[in-house]
Amino acid sequence: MPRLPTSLIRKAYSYSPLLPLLLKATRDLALAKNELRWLQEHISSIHRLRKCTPKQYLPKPPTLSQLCRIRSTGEPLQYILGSQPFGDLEILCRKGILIPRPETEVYTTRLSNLLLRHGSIGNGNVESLQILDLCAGTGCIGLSLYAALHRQIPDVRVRAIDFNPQARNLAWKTVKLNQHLGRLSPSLSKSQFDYVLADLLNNEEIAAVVQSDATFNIVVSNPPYISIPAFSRDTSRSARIFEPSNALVPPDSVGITGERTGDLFYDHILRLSWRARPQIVCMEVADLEQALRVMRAVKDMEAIDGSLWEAKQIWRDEIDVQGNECSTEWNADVNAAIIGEGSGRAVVLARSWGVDVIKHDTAAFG
Amino acid sequence: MFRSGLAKNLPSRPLNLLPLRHLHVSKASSAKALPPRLKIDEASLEENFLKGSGPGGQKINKTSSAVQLKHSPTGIVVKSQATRSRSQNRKYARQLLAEKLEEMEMGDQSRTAIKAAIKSKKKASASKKKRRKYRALEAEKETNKQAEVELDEKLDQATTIREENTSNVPLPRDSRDH
Ligand SMILES: C[S@@+](CC[C@H](N)C(=O)[O-])C[C@H]1O[C@@H](n2cnc3c(N)ncnc32)[C@H](O)[C@@H]1O
Repeated sequence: MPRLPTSLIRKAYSYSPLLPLLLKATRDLALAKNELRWLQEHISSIHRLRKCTPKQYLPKPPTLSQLCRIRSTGEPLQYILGSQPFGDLEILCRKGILIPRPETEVYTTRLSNLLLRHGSIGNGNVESLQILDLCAGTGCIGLSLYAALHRQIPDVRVRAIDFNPQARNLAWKTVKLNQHLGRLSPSLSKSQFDYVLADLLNNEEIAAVVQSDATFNIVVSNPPYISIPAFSRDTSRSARIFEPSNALVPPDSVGITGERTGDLFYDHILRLSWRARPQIVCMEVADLEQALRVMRAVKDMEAIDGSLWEAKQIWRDEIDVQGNECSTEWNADVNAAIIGEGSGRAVVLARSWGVDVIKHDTAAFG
Repeated sequence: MFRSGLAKNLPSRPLNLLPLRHLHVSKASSAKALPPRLKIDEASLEENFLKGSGPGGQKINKTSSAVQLKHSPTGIVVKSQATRSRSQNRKYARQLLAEKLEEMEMGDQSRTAIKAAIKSKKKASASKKKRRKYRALEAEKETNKQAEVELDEKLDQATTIREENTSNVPLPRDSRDH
C-alpha cells in the first residue's frame, strides 16, 4: 500500500494529535475525523454508564489515545466499539465473528423494501413468511428482514444456520439488545428466530436441521466467497488479520483451483433451495464474474432438473434501496437482468409471486 | 452504551447536525418564528449509498455509511456520513437538502438564514476575533450555496460555530470526562 503523504498526516495532526493514528487505519481524512468522534462518543457512553453502575462491576474505561492506538494497528472499529448499525438494528460485533458489511445492508434493505411494496404484503394480506438465512453469522440479514417485515406480516419466522456457536450466542445477545432498545418486538423468541448450528457443507447435518419437506419463502445467504488468490491479492489487511478466515474463504476442496475456490458454497445453497422451493433466493457474491459463474451453475442445474426460476437478476452495489427503477442491462447468456452500477453484489432468483416482488421496478411500476 | 442518544448528552464537541439543530431550536426564544421545514417529494430524489465506494463486500470492512442524495429537479447533491448508522445519515441528508433548497428558494427568509441572523445577534457581544471568524464562515456558506455540499464541511462549520458558543472547547485529545 502506498505511504500516506506527509502533508495529509500533518493536516491530520493539526486537527488532533491522535488523528494520524486513525488515518493509518482509514486512509481517509474525513473518515478518520468521524472515527475520532465515534470513539469519543463511545468513551463518553462508558463514563455515563459508570455513573449509574457500581464501579467495581465495570472495567476502567479506556482513554481516547488507547483506543486510537488499538485502531491504528488495523483492528476493526466495530470490534472496538462492539457493534455496527445495520438497517434499523444495532448488531453486536465480537472478535471471531464477521462484521456486517455496508454492501450487505444495502441489498438487504432493497429486498425488504421490495417485499413491502409487493401488493399483498403491503396491504397486509400475507399472514406468514418463512425465511432461511444460511451462514447467518451475527444474524444481521435475517434479523433485519424480520424487523422490517414484522410490522406488515404477523407471522415472520427466520431460521438461521451457521456452524459457529459463538455467532449464535452473539446473535441472541443482539436480539436482547434490540428488544431493549425497542427495535425488535419483545415477543421475538426462539419460535420466530430459530438459530441452529450445522455445517452447510455436510449433507447429513443439513438434512437434520432442514427437513426434506420444509418449505421457505425466502432464502438469503452471505456465504464465505473469497477465492484463495483473492484473499492474498485484494482482501484488506484488517479483514485478513482480524476477522475469521473461515467466514471469508471457503475450505479447500480437491480439484478446485484459482478463482473458483470462492464458489464452493453456492452449489449447496442452490441444491437446498431446490428442495425448499422458495419464491426468492438472494445470495451475496464477490463481483460480477462470480455472479455470472453462479448464474451458469443455475443454468446447468436447470438443464438437468428442469427449470425452477422464472426471473433472475444480478444486483450491483449502487442500486436503489427503495426498489425504484435503476439502470438495467440484459445478459442473454445467463438470461438475467443486471441492475444498478458498481460491483456485482447479489444473485437474485425468483419464482411464483417472488417474480412480482423483484420485478416491481421494471414491470409493475415501470 | 449503544444508543446514540446524541441530543441529550453533548460531549465536548458537537456530534452532528441534529443535536445542534435541536439545541439551537429549543434554546432560541424565537424558535416559533421559524418557517416550517420544507418537505421534499421523495420521488424527486435519487439516493445512493455506495456511490464510488470501490471494491467491498467481505474483502474490506468499511466503517462509513455515507448517504448521497441528488435532487433531480435542481441537480443539488448532498452527502452525509455524520453517523455510523445509515438510517440516521439518510435523515441528515434530507435535512441538509431541505436547507439547501430553502436557501435557494427563500433567500434570507429561510430557516437557516433566520437562525443565522439570531445567532449573529447573539454574537454581537463576542470578541472581534470571533466575529471575524463567524463572518468568514457566513461568506463561505454564501459561496457554497449553489455548489455541492459535503456534510463533512457543514459539520466543520457547525463545529466552529459551536466551539465559539461553548467557550472554545479544545479538540478531542482525551475525553473531557476524565
Ligand atoms: C461472510 S460470513 C456472513 C455472516 C453474516 N450473514 C453477514 O452477512 O454478515 C459467513 C458465515 O458463514 C459461516 N460459515 C462458514 N462455513 C460454514 C459452514 N461450512 N457451515 C455453516 N456456516 C459456515 C461463518 O461462521 C460465517 O459466520
